[in-house]
Amino acid sequence: MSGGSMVFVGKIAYLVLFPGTLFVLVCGVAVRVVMSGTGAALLGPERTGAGAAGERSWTAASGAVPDTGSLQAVVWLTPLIKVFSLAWVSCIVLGFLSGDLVLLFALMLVAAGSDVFAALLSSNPRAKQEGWRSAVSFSAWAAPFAVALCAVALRTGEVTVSGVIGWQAARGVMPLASAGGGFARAGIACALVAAFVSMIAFAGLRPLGRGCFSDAPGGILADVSGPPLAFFAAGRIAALFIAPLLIVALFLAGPAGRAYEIVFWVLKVAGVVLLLSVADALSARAGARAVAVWGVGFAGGLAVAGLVLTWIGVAS
Amino acid sequence: MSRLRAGLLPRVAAFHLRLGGCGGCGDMVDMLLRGAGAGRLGVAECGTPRHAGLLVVTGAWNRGQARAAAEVVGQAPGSVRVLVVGDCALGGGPLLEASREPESVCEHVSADLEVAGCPIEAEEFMEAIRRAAR
Repeated sequence: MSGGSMVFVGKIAYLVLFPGTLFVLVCGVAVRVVMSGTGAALLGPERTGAGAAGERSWTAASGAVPDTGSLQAVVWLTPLIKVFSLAWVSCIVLGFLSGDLVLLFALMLVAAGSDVFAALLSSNPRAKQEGWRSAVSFSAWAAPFAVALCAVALRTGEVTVSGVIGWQAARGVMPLASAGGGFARAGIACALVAAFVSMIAFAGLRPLGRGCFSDAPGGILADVSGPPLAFFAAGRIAALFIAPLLIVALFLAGPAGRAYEIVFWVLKVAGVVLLLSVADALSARAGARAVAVWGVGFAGGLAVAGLVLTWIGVAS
Repeated sequence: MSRLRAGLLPRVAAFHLRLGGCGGCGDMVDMLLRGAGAGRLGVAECGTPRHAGLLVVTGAWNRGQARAAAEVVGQAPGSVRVLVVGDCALGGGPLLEASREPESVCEHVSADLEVAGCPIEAEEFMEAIRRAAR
């Protein structure tokens, strides 16, 4: 094989195995177990929703996808696109593939948007109705997260993910790094909170997200069972891991080469997972209007304030 | 620790299909599936038959609901287990003569487990759920 072919095969291996699809799904299942355990510890066994292994009947079941519902190609392809996009995000964050913040955001848009489009393409009115709610949830994370990414790029002067991680490796965790002074630190702290809130919606967690594990399923999930449903569940599980991974990589100093730094990175990811779990366990699912107010309004406003403060800090 | 273990246990997604009857069995099934004991039984109610690992059927299979009922059963995955609950669903019950062409659910759906009674015994139903969830 030529050198070019080897590089191509290597990149495919990254996307499929490590740190791509397989790695993301294994870590996502671990995050799911932590979240389920946190919910059980806080609320007892009587909390709403299935247990960590509650999806077993989905994957074991033979499919019953109705002819009158979503197009067959849509229900098979959209979850695969989502998982593939999130695997690519994981590869970029962990430094196995190169990519800038715009590509990262675009992949996240594709991943989250695939669910919305699948629901809206369905001829099932119940699926379509939930599709619009998912669209509100989509805007609740996309708008504030885009502004938070701008604040990160402004603070670091870097547009690549590896550049942002390298900046933090040299100067420390972003909210505490001295570069840019107090205004920049306050701005990044605001952006961090906005990003955390937006990741709740991105991962489909309560109160801002539309989930398939913790309440009565709606949207495209009402249309499918069997293998397509398992693929959708895989997409949600992948998002559960990508959300804390992004927060740590962009704001809390992502993974670096030394062994002790990897241990710290794992601990930071675990901490963010725990915070997301507590938010999910103690909240009720918000309605579309509340999601818009708290996502686009509160988190978006906080992200804009963070961007302005960061700009003032960096400029002065 | 027991809270944690109960929270992590796998649960079978159950869908309740209510057909014609007085509603007593249906109310009891709803109470048991949604109530405090559901987590310990290893079941969680789901909102669509397409996700169901367990289909719980109450009431008589009658002419007015036959088409809708058949559609719900058809939407369930092939590996779904069916639990038929109550005398009406089993082709008997006090409303047998008042109903329009009532039939036993078992004539239309292959039942894996049956719980007879009018009304049913809660303990008997919970035992059937435990067996179905295994």
